[in-house]
Amino acid sequence: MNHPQPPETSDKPLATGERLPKTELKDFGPEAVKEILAIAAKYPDKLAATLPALHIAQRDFGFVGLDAMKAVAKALSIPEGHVFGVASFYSMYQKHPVGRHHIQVCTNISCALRGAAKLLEKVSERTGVEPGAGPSADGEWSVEEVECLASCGSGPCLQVNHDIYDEDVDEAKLESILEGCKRGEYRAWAK
Amino acid sequence: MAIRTKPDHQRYTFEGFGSAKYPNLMLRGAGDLNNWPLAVYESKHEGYAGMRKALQMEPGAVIEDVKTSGIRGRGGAGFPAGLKWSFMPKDTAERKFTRYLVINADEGEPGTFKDRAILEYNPHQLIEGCIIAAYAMQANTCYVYIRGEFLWLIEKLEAAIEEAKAKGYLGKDILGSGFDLEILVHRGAGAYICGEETALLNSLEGRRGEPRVKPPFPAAKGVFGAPTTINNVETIAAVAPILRMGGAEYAKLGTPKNTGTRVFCLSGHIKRPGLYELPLGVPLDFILNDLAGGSSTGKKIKAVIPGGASAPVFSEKEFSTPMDFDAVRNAGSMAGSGGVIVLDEDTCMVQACLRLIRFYAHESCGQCTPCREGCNWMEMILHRIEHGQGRTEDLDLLASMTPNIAGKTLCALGDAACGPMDSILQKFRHEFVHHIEHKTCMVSGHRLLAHVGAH
Amino acid sequence: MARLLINDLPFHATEGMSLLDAARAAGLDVPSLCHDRRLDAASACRLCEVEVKGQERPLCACATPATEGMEVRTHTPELEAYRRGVLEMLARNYPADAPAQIPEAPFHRLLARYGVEPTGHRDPAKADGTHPYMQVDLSQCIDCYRCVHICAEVQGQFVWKVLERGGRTRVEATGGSLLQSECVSCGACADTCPTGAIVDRSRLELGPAAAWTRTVCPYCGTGCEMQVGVAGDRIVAVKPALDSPVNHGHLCVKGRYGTGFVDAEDRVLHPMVRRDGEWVRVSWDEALDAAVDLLRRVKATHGPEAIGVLGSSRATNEEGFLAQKLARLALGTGNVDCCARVCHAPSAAGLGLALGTGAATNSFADIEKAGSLLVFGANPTENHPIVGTRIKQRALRGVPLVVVDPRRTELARMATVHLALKPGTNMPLLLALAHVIVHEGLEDKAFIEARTVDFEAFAQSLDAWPPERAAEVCGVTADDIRAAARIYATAKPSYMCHGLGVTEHIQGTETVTGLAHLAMLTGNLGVEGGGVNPLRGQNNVQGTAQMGCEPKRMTGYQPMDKALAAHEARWGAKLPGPGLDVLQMVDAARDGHFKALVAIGYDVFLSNPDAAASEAALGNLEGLVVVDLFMNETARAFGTVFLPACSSFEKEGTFMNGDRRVQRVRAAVKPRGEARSDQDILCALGARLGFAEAFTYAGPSEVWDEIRGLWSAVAGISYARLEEGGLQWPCPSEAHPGTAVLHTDAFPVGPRAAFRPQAWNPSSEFPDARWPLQLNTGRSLFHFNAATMTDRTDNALLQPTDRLDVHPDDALAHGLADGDPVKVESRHGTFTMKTHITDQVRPGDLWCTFHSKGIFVNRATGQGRDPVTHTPEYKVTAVTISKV
Repeated sequence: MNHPQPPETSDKPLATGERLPKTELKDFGPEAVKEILAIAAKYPDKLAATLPALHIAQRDFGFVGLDAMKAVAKALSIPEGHVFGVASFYSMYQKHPVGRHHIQVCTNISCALRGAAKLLEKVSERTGVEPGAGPSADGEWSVEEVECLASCGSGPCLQVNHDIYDEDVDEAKLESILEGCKRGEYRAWAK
Repeated sequence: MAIRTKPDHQRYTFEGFGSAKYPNLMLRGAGDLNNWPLAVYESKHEGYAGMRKALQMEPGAVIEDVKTSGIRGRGGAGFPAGLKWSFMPKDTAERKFTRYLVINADEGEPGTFKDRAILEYNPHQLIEGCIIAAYAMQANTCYVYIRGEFLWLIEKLEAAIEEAKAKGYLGKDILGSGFDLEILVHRGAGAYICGEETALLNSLEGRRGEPRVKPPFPAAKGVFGAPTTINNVETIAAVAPILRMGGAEYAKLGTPKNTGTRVFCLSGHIKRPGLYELPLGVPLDFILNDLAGGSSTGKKIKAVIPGGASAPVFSEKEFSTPMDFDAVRNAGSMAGSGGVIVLDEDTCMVQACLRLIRFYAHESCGQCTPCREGCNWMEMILHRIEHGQGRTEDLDLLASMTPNIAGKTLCALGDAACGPMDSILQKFRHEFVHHIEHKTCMVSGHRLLAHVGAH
Repeated sequence: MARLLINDLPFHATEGMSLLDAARAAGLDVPSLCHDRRLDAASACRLCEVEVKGQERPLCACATPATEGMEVRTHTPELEAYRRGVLEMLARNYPADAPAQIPEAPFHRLLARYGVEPTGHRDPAKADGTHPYMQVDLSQCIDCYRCVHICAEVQGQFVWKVLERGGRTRVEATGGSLLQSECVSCGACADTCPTGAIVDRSRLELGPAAAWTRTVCPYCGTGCEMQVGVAGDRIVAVKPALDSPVNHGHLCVKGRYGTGFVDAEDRVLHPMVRRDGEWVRVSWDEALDAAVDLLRRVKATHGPEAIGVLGSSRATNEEGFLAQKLARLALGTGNVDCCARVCHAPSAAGLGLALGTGAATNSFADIEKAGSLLVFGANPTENHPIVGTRIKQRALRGVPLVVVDPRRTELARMATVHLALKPGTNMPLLLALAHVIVHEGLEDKAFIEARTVDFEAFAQSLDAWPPERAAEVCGVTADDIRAAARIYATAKPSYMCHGLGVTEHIQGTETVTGLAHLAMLTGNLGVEGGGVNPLRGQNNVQGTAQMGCEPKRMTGYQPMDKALAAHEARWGAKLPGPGLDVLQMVDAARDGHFKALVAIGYDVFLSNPDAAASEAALGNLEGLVVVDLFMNETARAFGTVFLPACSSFEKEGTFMNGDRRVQRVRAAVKPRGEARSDQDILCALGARLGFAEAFTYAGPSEVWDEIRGLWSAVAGISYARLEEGGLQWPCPSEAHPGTAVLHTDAFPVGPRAAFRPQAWNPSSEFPDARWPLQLNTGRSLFHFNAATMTDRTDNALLQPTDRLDVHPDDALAHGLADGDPVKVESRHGTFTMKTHITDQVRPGDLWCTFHSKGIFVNRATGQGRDPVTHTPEYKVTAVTISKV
């Protein structure tokens, strides 16, 4: 359907026919397949392992592109179309490469009331990348505007990669977060 | 695995919290990062006493006790939990059912951050509640669906589950009762709609998180085609103290039809934001002013969203509303998930409205027409009003759209979008009119959205 | 039954009706865009919301069961305003010019009804014109997901998918374009699409249908009912019959799109005779005279036994009956046969011998009732696609599936157990399955005691085939044999179906008996969800054989000794006894004893094995009368008289499908050119041969009535009853509802069926040092047998030529790359085709289709035959290959 794109969203949708970026890795390694099948065995239906397998794909491939989705379909012997549909539904699966430090800033109402808009601009300025625009040239940073992270009483907040949130982030705090990133204090985005 | 921790910035207490008037049932030890292990829970917080008591009872008697407690679901809809449990089919001579208990830990309602605190500080209270609930309904598998961003909490809950297993509280023949239970943690991947119970079931099954057509209801056909009950984290965690103290004792808290305590989440322009566990029925202005210190900006409070982003806003005349399910409903809003968001008089309501509607347009699952198309359309219109390109007829257009969305969609997301839309437009129409007529904002205060031109 | 009030009028809803069903049954046009009766209620478009008294908010009618006492309002001003509002939301970005293009599309009709004008534009990037049958324009997609659901839940293909969410939700084909996707071109998405987003190309090119005719598909033996849309005497659309018990509103690529042959350029539209080696156009009188002259001359000089008639498995029951009547009565010859000889004759013979009825014991509906499924030597997702999808849907829902097939077919890939046996080893495998069942005590002792005899001797004979021995011979594992046997014997009822992988072997009939044994052992006979079910190849191969186009059988497949007298009495003449079958006719022609053949809709030269031998034999004929739509290979090489026939879209009659269902065939268009129906042609020939009275009928129903008089099992099936839908025989009286499951109480062979010890007879075509590889042949989804029909449709674009499937190991050994031309040589002949490297075949096995006349695969197949039915051993030929 011809939905006009909402004007202010940061995550980039694919145009019809547009191809997802390629990854170097084309398939899961044998260990990952084993891991996925072990997860699948915990459920009455292997389809239920689709989300966990996509998380593993994101960990191993760096983002959930076409190859990662196909690898999930293959590992679980489920239709590719199903995996595409699921992967594109959930916003945590990145369809494009992200930086080594993927900074996710909550801009929902509670954080917005406490200065999220300014924080987002500041993060963007300090990392040199626009929200949703892909990683910085050195591959270090990417920024994403995200919906409520459940940190409303201590906003504005952000999440670096999959790590524990940083809360009440003001300018000084942002500096120390960026320093922490450089020192490798945060959980890695991918393998 | 070492559990990653980092001090958080929430407030969990207030003066008088923990007294008989304001008992602490849900937030014991909150704020102390070393509070989570089983040993602490058992030695300091009467941990697993409720479970021990429940396992001595008939499953049906446990359900009765929860019914007696009167607890209503803390996830949003406020449906009596005991009654919900009683819908699960019982085994008969002809048919043995596989039943599931599913815990909704997909906390994502803007303004709500209570489940996160329970997972952070009292995972064992949730596990205890799961054991009691699963035993009551004779479900042998429990899935905890946790939002994907809470990765460290998933690891913590899994560690807690291992502790409980080692103690014999989970697994086969729990404490010699003959009852078996396995708890599995399932990580979500970023979709607000998965907080809707049937969307959550689809997501758990590895599908797109699209709400299901009802009937069949989950109690008849839930996850993997089997009877399923889905409860919110706070509801299930509350079951532990309910069993421990007895349903009748719990029912004395709060008001007769809105029993017990619930954890209110205060955010926005408020001096002391944080979690406030309070008996139901405490007036909103008492919470705002007496407990939380009033506005954080020194400006007057203009509006309050009383039950998470989906709730219609209160303006000043509703600030005295007692905070329970029925009173809030009677005042035209909903108690929802307990998220209380405070907006001061410098807040542009057009921006606030756009921010909320943008959220719903982004989070609509897309399967039913009025929600998918309607939210998207409302966002477009609000966007142009906010950006000084509003048309005079836009307000009537917005007003004419909500009746085609609210109450007409497959799940409650359409209603959730229309609640704030309608109420803000109705109560703060002059701000919209000003935007359209003057191509600019009436208030000049806080900027809620990045890259907004009109301010 | 529920009584409710709809708009104040009482309505009685039947069990399981939704409010939408009820309202529509009450004649109310409640709008809906996401609803399709083939799918679960989606409740997504929200247009069908209605007001129900006592309910706070409107309810979605499609998802709300109609229950006692409801008071429903369907068209209040509020609801109508709401519906208009929803349509406005959808119309906002919908291409403004789309409704004018296909005004009858449900969404376009609703826009017109509610006066909503779309205001959007087409986006060329969203169009996909790659598919020969379907045009895609996703600018016209309204996200109702019907294509997604029907592709997954009816076809089981998962081509269409939903991407993203919220306002960005969109539907797309996996793979980008339809042609690049896994699409099997069934057309279900185009059928269900309520807009112009997915539409049959024919709709855009030929316009809408002006009238619809309900008839039966002319392709395989599934017997799908369909609605043929016609405009200006031209077929412009085919839709499935939604209420058909056979296809449940679904069709495959052949049925839905394979009608192009009707108006193919090279269709023969006038009679011809061969003069001085050239075909010359003549009048019908001249052509009929030429045919009759030939037949009279041969009869006078060589006797009636030098003449034969081949009935057509494509023609109607009535025409099959007339073909045997022409042979037996007008020509006085018993030499009458049809192409069942080369496919399922062993099924008819094997089941006839073991149980007493040579047809499927159960119905296709039993697939949904079965506790497990066994597919033996069949590839239904390609060859009987509607049966295939029904099996697939069950397997997707977790019903255990056992597939016995040398190739890893689509069903094999999703099977619980796939026994990829070596072709030619069906018997050892069957005996080992029976061995496991008996040795593990899984047999149905009560059934064996009550319904069978001679079990002990059979059980003892199984000692020769422990699974370990069979595993070695068949090339499968003993564990898999055990697993398969356990599933079949315990997950009951177990539905079994089989195909030509069973029958086209030298032990075809014996193997069918073995299948019957398996069902007898486990009590899977006479029960719903069980049975032994041959998947018949052609639309009316069941019927034509059943009509007596069989050298040893009369109408109703009745043995000669039982039925000959009744036929003689009815027709008032002495009739000949048993005659030659088609292979024997060819043999006799080779030897000079057989001189004239009438071949009706049967390309015997291209279809029979060992084409070199056929070529020599048919060259000996004095004349060959061809009744066909096209100049087929037999006619081209050997025909002397060509009588142009009608397709089934141009005539009336009945077909009989693979589950014994007699269904009406109706004319949708007029006969092309001077073509006549086989019935007209056969009656004209009969009259000219001096039997004018016996060959005069007012129409096909009179022929059918004669059949009813000669065969009691269809006595209760009248044309009048068939107007209400098909009927399954036995149906002995007009009050009888027809029979879905055979042998519920007794068997036609007697109260008890007999077990009989069986042994394996290995093929002489097994590989050796000189001929190291084993060739197997079959059909594909997009084509049908000799491709006479499908090659004249756009299916030729979807699958242009035959390819030889070669295992990667063998390709490596022979230095073959994908697409390389490869010569296949056997003891009997050679052919050349392109290599297709795939691990779907076993190492050492080759597999190909035999559709293309240019390649002529049957030049290489051999002379092996089943001793009982003479059915050729198409499935095993020792060959060698070399790169060209």
